[in-house]
Amino acid sequence: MALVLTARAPAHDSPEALVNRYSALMAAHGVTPLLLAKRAEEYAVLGELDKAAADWEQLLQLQPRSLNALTELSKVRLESGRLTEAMSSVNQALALPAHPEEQAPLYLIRAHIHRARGDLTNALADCERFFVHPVPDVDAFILRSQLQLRLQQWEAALVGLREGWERTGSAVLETHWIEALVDAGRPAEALAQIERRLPETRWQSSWLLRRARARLR
Amino acid sequence: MRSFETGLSRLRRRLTAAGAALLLAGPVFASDHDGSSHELLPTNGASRSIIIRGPYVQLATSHSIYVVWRTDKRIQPVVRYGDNPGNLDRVVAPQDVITRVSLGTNRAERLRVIEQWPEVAHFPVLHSAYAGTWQYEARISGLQPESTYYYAVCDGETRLTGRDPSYRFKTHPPPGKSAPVRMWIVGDSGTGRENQSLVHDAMLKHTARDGRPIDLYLHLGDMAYNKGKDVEFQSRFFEMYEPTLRNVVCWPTMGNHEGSTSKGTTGIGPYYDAYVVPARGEAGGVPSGTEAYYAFDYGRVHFICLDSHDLDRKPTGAMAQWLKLDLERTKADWILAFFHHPPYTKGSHDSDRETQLVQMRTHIMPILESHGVDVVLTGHSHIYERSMLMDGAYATPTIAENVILDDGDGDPNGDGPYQKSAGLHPNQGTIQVVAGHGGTRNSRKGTMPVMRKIIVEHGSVIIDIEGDTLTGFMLNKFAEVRDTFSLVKRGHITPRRILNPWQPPDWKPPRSPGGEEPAAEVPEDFIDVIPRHAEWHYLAGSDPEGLKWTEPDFDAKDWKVGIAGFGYGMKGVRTELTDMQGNFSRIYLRREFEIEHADYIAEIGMRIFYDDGFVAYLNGKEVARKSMGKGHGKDARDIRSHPGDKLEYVPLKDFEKHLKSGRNVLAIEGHNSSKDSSDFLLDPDLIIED
Repeated sequence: MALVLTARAPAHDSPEALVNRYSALMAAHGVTPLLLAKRAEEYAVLGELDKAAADWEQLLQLQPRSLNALTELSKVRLESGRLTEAMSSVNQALALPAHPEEQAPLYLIRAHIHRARGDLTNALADCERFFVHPVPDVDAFILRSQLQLRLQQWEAALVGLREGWERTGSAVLETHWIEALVDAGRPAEALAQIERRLPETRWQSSWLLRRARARLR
Repeated sequence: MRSFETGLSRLRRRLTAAGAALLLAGPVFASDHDGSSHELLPTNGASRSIIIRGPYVQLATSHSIYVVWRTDKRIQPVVRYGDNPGNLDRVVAPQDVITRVSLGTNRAERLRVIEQWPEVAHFPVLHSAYAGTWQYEARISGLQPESTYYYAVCDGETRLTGRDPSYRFKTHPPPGKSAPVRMWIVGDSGTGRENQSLVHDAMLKHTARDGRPIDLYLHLGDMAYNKGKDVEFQSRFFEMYEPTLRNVVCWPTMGNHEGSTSKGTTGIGPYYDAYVVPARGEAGGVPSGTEAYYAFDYGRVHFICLDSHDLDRKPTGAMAQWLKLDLERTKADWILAFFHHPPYTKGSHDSDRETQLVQMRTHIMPILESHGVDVVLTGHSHIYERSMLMDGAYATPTIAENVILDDGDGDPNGDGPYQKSAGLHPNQGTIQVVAGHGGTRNSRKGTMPVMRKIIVEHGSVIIDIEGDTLTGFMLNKFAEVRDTFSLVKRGHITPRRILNPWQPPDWKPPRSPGGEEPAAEVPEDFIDVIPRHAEWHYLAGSDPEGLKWTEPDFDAKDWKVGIAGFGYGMKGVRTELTDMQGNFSRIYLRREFEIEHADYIAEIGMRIFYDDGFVAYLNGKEVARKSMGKGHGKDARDIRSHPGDKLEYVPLKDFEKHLKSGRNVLAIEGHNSSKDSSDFLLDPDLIIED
């Protein structure tokens, strides 16, 4: 999964100490959305995703329309493989009124959920919705192209990867574009690019494999 | 009331100071060349603009560099430079300077800025600074490799920087040329406090002592506590390191604290505003397409910066894919990788427990080691830890058996340097350096078995690479070398794994003879709850019954009122206890205070001068005890002598259980070691972490 759980709140103490502190605060003063959110983030840092999810769920009982809690819960459930529940929470989040730029990341989460469920068509549709608003990062370009390639949308994948490469300069997107040329049945163009890159490379094994693949095509 | 100088107030003070300095700077720049002394008007006809950040240098290559600075008004940005400080005969014209402007964070601010300068609506945005802040990024190109240049930042013809040869930079060696390099490595420093400053001073002292300045500076993240806000960058990074930053490039990686306000996925935030890094391979690496991770070369040394904080760390992620491409392509002799979260640590963080650290070890380290990386530099954990020569330690928990290739100390004057084959070879060993000891509170949780040196002191690391030899030093804040290690890459070496390598001894948290916790450090940001020299109720010369006096509902109307500190015979006494010596050895203090939201408080503690001991109570419950044994009041035992000449910070233990929203009471009993002691002092305040 290319999504990353939200970064922890800033603190100097270890996550274990913070979990203990937030638990003690809640024991002494009662449960609050802020403390639940902070503890959920620390549980996520510790990889205790079930506990993180439980805190986000409890927070949502207090604040059912918390966009942040629904977003984070969706990511935690996705990371845990709880796909049906993840879909439920991300759909709840998308139903909330929000600025399009706030909604865009939710489409990316839903795209990952669809992909994990094998629903590539809807995954790609959500990925395209994500691309409407934010400045996409390299990971998002890769995800979209992978979905397009698996759906045999060769030309769209090539165009998207080329656009991403030109926009960002990312060598990873360039490499995916070259691989996509092979997948799209244009090995000669791919070979030209591979031959251009091979001499620049110290350890050539991955480029030699690409070349072999292009030659076999 | 805020008892520390905020970033904003420092910025304001600095604006005033800078403005004064500018007025004193004297003649206009034109006089440099033709001897004329005409005073040119500011660009906008308004008051002269001043530099509020920098100038500092960024993204150096063998033939180019960026000079970056900020002003609070629009200027005609010009950089003059040359190879002689008295003859800056070349110019970067305004059209070659990237101008970014902050439009603020709300619509009103945005409209105000655009109304004043309509064209800025199309300028690149400075995302996080105050509205109307201008940032200029001047790329100086066409430079000679390994050459020193001097520069001045100007507003049109008016020189804004002083006539000071410290405004200089040195370009990198040509790509592929072997050249000595000295780098300074700092992590987790951004407090704006004394320890950070001492660590910086120690580096300057050390490099002056051996006549070898640093060529570059790697920051391992957490450079602007607490949330990496723009004002925190200003006061806790740029102002702290200003003399170094004006002539040495700081190559950064983002820490979790910067990650509160800056996002790797978008490249937006104060961290990304502050730095110019090579996203397109401008400095020798493979283009990453993002400022979150990048690479650069210095001669035959290749540097890789990764974002361990908020990007996908898995092998399928874009960052890991880029890393592989970059490592495949580099033809350097040496590779150093740096990022924030350490794959191996038992300092203030535990790499066997935390997801980011585990993932950097299990997903990223195999890529680095299989491509011949020599040194991995990280922070996050507030400690200095340096490993033996190691490879393949990807298991959780980390064990030393069969992953250590050389269990010596790596010291040229000790067991001798670590050794690898010349050039880059897979899996011949890596040295891990955790350098999260650059300024904030240090701590240790345990012992990481692959480490050869574990030191809980503030400091930084200097690494020299010359030819086939790398030498590293850990320099503490007093400029003392506390660790030396070396790696020689020569000939052909066949690595051998050691089944039962040397391992560091077991460690337990240190306790003083009296069983007390080690000294704590004051939080970076705090708010006074009971200020220094506040009025307290106090009882002197008799003892209250039991502990009822510590509880919130106790009525202290019969007690006296005085200003802290209480005592005699010591500097800092404001309420003199003239009859204490020879008559009694204890006093009792009480003070009420209000807390709005007790459940928001992350830490609460006293800053206190005490001579000799005390017990503190929060709402009737004991929360701190120093320099004394068991018991309370007249039954207290084992009062030990303690000099009250140093302000100590004492966090209140288990405060979460006792602190309430609304009215609270802090009560303290102070004890002298004997009635006849020559002095006594009890001088507390109370602060909460902000």
